[in-house]
Amino acid sequence: MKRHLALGLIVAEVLVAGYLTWAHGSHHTVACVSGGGGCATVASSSYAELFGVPLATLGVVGAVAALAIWFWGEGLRARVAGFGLAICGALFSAFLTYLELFQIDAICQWCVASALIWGALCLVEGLRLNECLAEEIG
Amino acid sequence: MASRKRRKATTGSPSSAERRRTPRASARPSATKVWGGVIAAAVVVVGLLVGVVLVSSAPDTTADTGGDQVRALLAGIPDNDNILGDPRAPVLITEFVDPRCPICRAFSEGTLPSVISEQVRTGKARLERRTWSILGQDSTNAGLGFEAAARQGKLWPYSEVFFINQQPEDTAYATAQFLESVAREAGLDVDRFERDLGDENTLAEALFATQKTADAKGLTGTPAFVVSGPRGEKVYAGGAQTAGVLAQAVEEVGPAS
Repeated sequence: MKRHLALGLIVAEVLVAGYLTWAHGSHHTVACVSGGGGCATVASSSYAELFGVPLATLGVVGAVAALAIWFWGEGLRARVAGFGLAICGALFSAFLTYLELFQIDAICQWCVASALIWGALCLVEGLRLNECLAEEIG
Repeated sequence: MASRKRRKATTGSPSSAERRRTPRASARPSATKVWGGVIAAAVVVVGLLVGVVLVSSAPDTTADTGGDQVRALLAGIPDNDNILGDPRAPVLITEFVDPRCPICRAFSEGTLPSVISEQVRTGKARLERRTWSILGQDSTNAGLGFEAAARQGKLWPYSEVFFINQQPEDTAYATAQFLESVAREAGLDVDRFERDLGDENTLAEALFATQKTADAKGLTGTPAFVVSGPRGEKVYAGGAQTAGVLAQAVEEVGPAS
């Protein structure tokens, strides 16, 4: 159950980060579901790119790596790697949310969705690691 | 399946193979160490990533391009008291700009060259630029630089170089160092610019005067345009206009042919 939930979250992150990367690369305006222009403001901010590469690309890379770890298997190493990646994603997303709130003064709903996905993935992978540790180490 | 096998194995007496594994099992880290290791590694990785993001997103502290481009754009055009063009031109186009406004920059890059070639160089209109700082404290700081440049009669080259070197709107970059580098690139007397920049109160009064004019005209945002001539005045309260729209306005308020 948790393994499938993790897969669902990873796929969702691939889609969200993939959309943001595509919108940035093709110069399309990011569709803000409730309007307000927050997504466009965030997408055009100085934090939207890292050395010319859209920051959302990091999300895609992270999600694809999480997918690879998911396929790696159920062993302790895979679960440590899965949780390690998920907590990195959650912490970095928290930092990006801080930037949105206090530096850019705009909120992008897609970025919030991505942060929630990483937070949930961190929780699920943490539970999976906990189960594995209980079995393997006790 | 695998876990069931493991549970089954623990209920019986340890096999010889399991006994051989015991020393290895005791060498395994404890759960606490695994949690601590993963979380510490994640904090280090994210810390490095945050550092890279902050460093790479830091605004430029100097402006070092655009001087030659601006000199070519303005070459040969009379510039009297910061009004660009033939003093006898019957129509005055006044542009209200905020130094940190990205749309003002876009207008300068994309439309201004056409307006200069079609309206100013032909003697149909003169161009005036007023500094209307409405985007916060950094915008006011930048506006003081615009007014200091205006004291030297160099508002046009200064503001154009500023726009070329404009930084993203969410960063605060209008430091004295940045403003002086703009002045240097635009060919101003930098020593005088520094002195004038110190006369902050007087420069702020000039900004305030423009604010009052903008309010009186009912302007709503930057860039805004007021096109005035012998046959009246047209006000574009906020937003970039095309060269065609401004040309039409010049025709409408200018002398009847």
